[in-house]
Amino acid sequence: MIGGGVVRLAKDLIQYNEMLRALARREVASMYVGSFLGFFWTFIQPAVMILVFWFVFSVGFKAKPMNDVPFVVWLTAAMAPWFVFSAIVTSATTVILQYAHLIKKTVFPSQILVVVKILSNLVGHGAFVVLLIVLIFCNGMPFSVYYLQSLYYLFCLLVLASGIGWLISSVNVYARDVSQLVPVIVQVGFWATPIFWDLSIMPESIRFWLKLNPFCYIVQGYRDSFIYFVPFWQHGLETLYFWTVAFLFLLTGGWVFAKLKPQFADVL
Amino acid sequence: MSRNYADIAIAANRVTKSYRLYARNSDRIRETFHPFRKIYHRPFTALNDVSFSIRKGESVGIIGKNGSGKSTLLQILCGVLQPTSGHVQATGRISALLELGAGFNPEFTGRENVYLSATIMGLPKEYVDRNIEKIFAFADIGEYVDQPVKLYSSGMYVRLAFATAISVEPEILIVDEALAVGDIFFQQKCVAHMKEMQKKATIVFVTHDMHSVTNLCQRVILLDSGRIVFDGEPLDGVSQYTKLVHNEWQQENKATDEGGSCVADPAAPQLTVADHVDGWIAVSKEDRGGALEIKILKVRITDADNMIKDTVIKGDEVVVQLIVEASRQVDNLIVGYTVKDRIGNAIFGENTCSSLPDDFSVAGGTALISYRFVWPEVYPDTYTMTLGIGEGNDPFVHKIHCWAHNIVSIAALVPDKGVHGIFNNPITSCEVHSLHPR
Repeated sequence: MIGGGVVRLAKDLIQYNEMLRALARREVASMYVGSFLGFFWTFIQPAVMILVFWFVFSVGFKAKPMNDVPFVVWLTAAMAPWFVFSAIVTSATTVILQYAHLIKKTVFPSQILVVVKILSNLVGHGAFVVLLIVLIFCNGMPFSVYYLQSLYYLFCLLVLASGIGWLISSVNVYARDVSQLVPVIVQVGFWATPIFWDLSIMPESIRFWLKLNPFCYIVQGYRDSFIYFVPFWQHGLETLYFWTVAFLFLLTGGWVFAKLKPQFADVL
Repeated sequence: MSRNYADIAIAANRVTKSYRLYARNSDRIRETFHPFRKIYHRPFTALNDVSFSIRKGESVGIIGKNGSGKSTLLQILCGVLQPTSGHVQATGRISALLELGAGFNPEFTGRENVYLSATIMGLPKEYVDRNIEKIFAFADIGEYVDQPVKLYSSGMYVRLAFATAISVEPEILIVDEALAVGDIFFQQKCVAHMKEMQKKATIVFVTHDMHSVTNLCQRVILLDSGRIVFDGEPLDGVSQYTKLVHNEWQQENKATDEGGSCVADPAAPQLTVADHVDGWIAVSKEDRGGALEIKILKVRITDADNMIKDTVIKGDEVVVQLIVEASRQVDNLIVGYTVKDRIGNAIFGENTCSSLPDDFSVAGGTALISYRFVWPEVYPDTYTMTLGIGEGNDPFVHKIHCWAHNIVSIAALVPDKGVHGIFNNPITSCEVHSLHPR
């Protein structure tokens, strides 16, 4: 049964939660081990990126505010989810290979690895969101409880990323082409998603097609939560569509992973 | 099989593992998802219909030549690999030492690595908290525990890894050649620890060290080309194993003899098929030295019952048989042997001239000569024997006609005790006198 893979994965996450957290902590720590600034790098990287955006677009190009919102704030609100999503997807692609020594030599639940990547990347996302809020504050924009709605969209993002992660991480074990292909798709995805541009500038006729990209929903959602304060239930149809796609990915990913997993140790 | 399933720790039932060899890696995906289950692979069988059951508390050694399927079997027993058909049932918490330090990251400290490895092995953090000092004490790496593992010497690395791995108190311990780490003292500590574990746990281990097999196991399973060819007493198993290795070695030698384009040695003895079965070893031109008026053609080592001998323990009678060809009548015949260790040190030896009062002679033509000696208690190792024939009646001055150098190998086992040097020299008496009574 196709859904069985996902149910079992969910059970494993509970069973192995201690190992999961230990591995995620290790992932985060290994990014900074041996560096002097350590954890500060989590903030430095997005901060510099935002600074560059601000300088290039607001100072350099004199980009007009988007619907009365400073361009840099408007951009950062969309960059935040994209940044973590692309990080999860790219790192999940090779995660099975990265942990090959454990999969081959110990009894190891490889299905939790994608979640390890998700958890470890969430740290950077937290930093990004904190900077976004600082930026909003600096621009004198209002605070709102709608900020909390971003957690819902984050959840959407994680479900989508898990499905995709399980799918590509397991297929990549057999066809390493995936690890070459994924960065390309991520690159294209960045420009195909309304991050640097707004849906409203597109002609009505192609807007429908652009909304088929499930990540469009998440990016719009982050802006709704931090800038426009629009609740998600106002996008009923989009919500329904997103969850359909996300569940399709989750089911396919879980099924493919469960199907390929028994042979991992043979191939690695 | 036993009717009482409660006693069984591991039961393997008709386990077969075949690998699928694909021309391309992508064929594997194509096959997995092919709507009509088209076959893209060539099968290779690593394990073939292997069945056994291991009782709780038993210590079982798995031996076999390289590529016989030992490690595959271990991986299946602990669940890393899935068998192609058949199934394995294990009752109890398994700890597997397939590779030491598999979860170690060189950038992190010893302490951090111990915690992570332990988590991967399924130990709760509190358990590690309680045991970490014991682990460090066992690994004996001193203040290095808080240094990154990349600064460790390779010995320290494996010691820490080993100490971590055995800190789990498993009900079933599966070990793949992991005992051979560290210096002699650490190895002794490991063996002592294994013996301690044997009291509580079921142990399955793979090794090439025949000495530790006979020392640690109650039972041996011998694999050859993925099948169980022997399952029983360790000493018998080791002897079977040496036969296997020996036969292969002989066949290889024979193959190179036939395949080689060197000029045929007219005097080279022809081995018949029956000879192979009887364990005769042909002595080639290169293995011979001496005046060669008498040539050793074939040799074999048997026990008193004429059975081929590949393994010996102290007190065994070893019968050396030579088939020789003499170019003339020789009186005052001397035969002898030297036993050398693997680096070529002569450990012991003797000849008939200095051990026996009798005179021997051989007429021209071929003859069968056999002589015997009793194997002394020497360090467990694989030894080679050099066999010789000569002429004379002085132990020091005699003519050597033929040496067959390093012609036979024999594995010496010391099943129930340690040998403290090349040989043991018993202590003859012991007294204790109290000097300053309290």
